[in-house]
Amino acid sequence: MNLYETTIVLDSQQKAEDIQGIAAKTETFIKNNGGTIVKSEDWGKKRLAYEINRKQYGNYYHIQFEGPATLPDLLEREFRLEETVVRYLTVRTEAHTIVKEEKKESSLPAEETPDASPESEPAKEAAVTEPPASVDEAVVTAESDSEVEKEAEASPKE
Amino acid sequence: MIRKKKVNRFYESDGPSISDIHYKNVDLLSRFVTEQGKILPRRTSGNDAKCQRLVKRAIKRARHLALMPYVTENLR
Repeated sequence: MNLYETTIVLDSQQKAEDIQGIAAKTETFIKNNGGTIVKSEDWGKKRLAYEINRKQYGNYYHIQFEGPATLPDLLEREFRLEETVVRYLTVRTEAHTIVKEEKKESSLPAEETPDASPESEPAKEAAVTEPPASVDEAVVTAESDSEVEKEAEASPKE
Repeated sequence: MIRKKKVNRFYESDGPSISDIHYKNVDLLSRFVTEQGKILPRRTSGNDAKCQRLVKRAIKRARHLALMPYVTENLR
């Protein structure tokens, strides 16, 4: 089991319920394939830094989840089939960002009682054992189809 | 913008910490690109190798998701 995070950019020109539908569908897909949702955030509609398929805006959705190593591949296939998904990025949650979340969690009980420290230690160990593998390269699914890359190359010439 | 050698602030207690380097954190990352959207070199940003690597990766991810531009729009 690994910690992953996925961000998807959805076509904001679609109906609101379709956009919500994809987000919900993705979450159930993760659950059905042996994953557990850690956190999900809706960033809402944002202006894209550059046009994608003549679109200026996109709806962003961010999900943190834990799951088997096969899950990102399955997810990618789902995203590719879904036309509402304009962009997607799935990465292993990186070691250096995990440290931050740990600190946040451990700082809370530490203020109250000194007894809390032994409790938080096993949690730390569990989190630390996983990340080192991801230090080299945590990208699991980053680059999408070649169309997208061409577009990015073409844009400066305009 | 005048480019001046900056100091690496990631290790200072009042600055941003290394764990803030993430593609979500566009405000922080935008400090490490030029007006055109190019990634600043280490000699200008003052980052050490580790920080520069993390910043670079985060910027590239942010670009992919259209959170940051490859090329700034008004310069096209």
